[in-house]
Amino acid sequence: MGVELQAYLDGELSPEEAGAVEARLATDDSLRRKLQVLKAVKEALEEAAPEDSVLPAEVEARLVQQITGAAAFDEAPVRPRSISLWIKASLAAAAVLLFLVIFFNREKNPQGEREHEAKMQQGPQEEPIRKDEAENAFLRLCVIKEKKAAVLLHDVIITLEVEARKEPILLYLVPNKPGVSLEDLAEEMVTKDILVPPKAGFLPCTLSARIFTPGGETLEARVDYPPSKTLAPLSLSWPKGSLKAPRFSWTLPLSCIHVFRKAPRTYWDVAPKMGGGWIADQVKAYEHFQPIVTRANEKSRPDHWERFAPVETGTYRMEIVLRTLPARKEYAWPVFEEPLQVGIPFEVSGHVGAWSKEVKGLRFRLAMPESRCRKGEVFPILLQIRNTGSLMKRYNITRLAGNPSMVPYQFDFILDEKGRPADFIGSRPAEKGFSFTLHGTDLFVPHLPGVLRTIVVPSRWWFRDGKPLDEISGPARLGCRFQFQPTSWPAEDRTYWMGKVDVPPIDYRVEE
Amino acid sequence: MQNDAFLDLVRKNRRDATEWLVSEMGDRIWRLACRCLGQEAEDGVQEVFREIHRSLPRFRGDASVLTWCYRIAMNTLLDQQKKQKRNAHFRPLDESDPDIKAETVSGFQDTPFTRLRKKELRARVQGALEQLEEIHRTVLTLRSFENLSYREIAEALGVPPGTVKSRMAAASARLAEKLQSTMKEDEDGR
Repeated sequence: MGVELQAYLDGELSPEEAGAVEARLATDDSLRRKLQVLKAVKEALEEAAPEDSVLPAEVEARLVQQITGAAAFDEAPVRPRSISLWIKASLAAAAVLLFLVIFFNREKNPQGEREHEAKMQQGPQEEPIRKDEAENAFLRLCVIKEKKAAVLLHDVIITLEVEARKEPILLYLVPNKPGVSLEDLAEEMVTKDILVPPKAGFLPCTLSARIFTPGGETLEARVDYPPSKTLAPLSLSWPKGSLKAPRFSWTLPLSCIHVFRKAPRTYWDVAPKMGGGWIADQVKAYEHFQPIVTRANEKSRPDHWERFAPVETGTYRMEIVLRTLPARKEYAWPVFEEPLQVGIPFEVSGHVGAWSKEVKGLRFRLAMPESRCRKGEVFPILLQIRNTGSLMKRYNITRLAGNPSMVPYQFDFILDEKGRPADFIGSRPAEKGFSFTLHGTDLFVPHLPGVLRTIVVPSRWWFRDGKPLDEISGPARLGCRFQFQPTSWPAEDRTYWMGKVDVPPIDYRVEE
Repeated sequence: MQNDAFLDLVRKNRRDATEWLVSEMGDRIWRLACRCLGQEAEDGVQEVFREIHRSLPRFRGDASVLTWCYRIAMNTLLDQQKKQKRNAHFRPLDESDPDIKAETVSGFQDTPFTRLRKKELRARVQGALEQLEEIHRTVLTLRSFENLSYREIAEALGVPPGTVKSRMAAASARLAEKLQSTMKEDEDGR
């Protein structure tokens, strides 16, 4: 009867069999006790079930890449821990193939190239952008350096004003001239204000943030970037001993800033491992920020790329504090000097290119600041992507080796009417002796249908003929060819999106 | 997806079929791999889907896709486990691992005290499970953690449904004994 009893408890018996068991239970005390024991075991098992974890997206992406990548998935033997090499080899092969295809297409298809050039010369024609469109005023960026008594002597405060949208904001910090650029600010810090010892190989600083809501409340935030235990929150590093005249910039996607509340002390004592001094599970209760858990359709699992986005619209002010670490004995750096109050707001509006035609539910356009660009000054270039389709999109980062960067490798920039591609897109070139390490997952943040995604890239990152764009004076035309490929897609999305689109160019001028 | 539709997909493009399985079964296989292989779950998942991909031409649709995948997964993961000569079977997810914690969406809803209690219970049940024979531990895991029916477990393990029924009863009884004895030990210890 024990076998039947367990099956009865599990609901695996037919109605007749279940009826027979119930009849026995009605008259047999020992059987009822036995059932109670089994029920307790079942409940213990259910309660002890591990919390549902999901296949990490990066593992899934690697799997999908292997499946789509090469015949190796069919036949090659598995070598433990060889996955990264394997992927790198596949990517390298794909990159070479892509290059050859593009190269030969260009060489063998002069007609197509001429057509493309003619299109580029025609300039933007589609959909003139009205300045009053809400999406053109999507961002106001303000950089302020100020002194606040002795407490902040070691700190630089960067204040951002962000118009809250119901999307995790992806933003590259690019302060504009006139005034002090973030880059200059950084140079001040490193070369003049912080005496980094010759043997140091990193910038000794930490990041923290506070958020001021439209309602006047102050929220504490933790800069939780990158979301990985393998990389430091912000790692600015260089070869030891090479830091003689360092210039650097740093980028920070706001989506990495999570709002946490300080844990009550009792939680510290009871469960020090549960988030340290921060209680992660209270984030959800926070009224200002709600997690965005995307779900492609009813059948698919919730995407684990969960981000917290503001629920109110309005202007949030975010104060990001770059704080130097306490001086160690062998280090010494003086405090920051005189306060410098510089407010440099700019609105990206007006000077925007036309939208590209829609390709696989995506439209692209370029935008630049309305003010004229000056030689030697970094200016922001914006690539805006609107998801006009009905499906969530994600973008791949294929630059895996060495220095992960947020720049999608699939960008194929065309910098003038002759269609010449950029020499280099990425972080600062290695010959400067300076590199920064960023985690490349933020472009994986799901791009939801109907949402405008803006990626701001500093002109200093775009090179042509060995020079960054802001070092090349005169009139210029900037176009962009965006090539995209799927990284992963929901089960029901059989459209298998992959494509190429020419983004209409915009004209600009860099003054001497 | 029905078996017929899946068979069509396999015939048209085996890679598409495997990718579909990754999206549909990835989480379940990942959980199984975490329990069987702990830190080396990724290698296990990779090997499972490689095996599934290789075996797709042999899928006839006699069993459901789900149980067919489970069968391959269990065989592959247990092989991996033996190869690695790991002593611990069905390891619990490491809660101190921030990556796993971050992915545990439901974890956000519990208070720390609830989590502690659950952790304690989980450790107790896990300890008892590990003392069971593998055949008993497997049926209990598939039933309780993966919510498979007896029929699905039978298909996944390639045994008759009656065998699953008797193994379940025996496994529950053994687990009850183990749990009772650990509770008694705790009480005696106090």
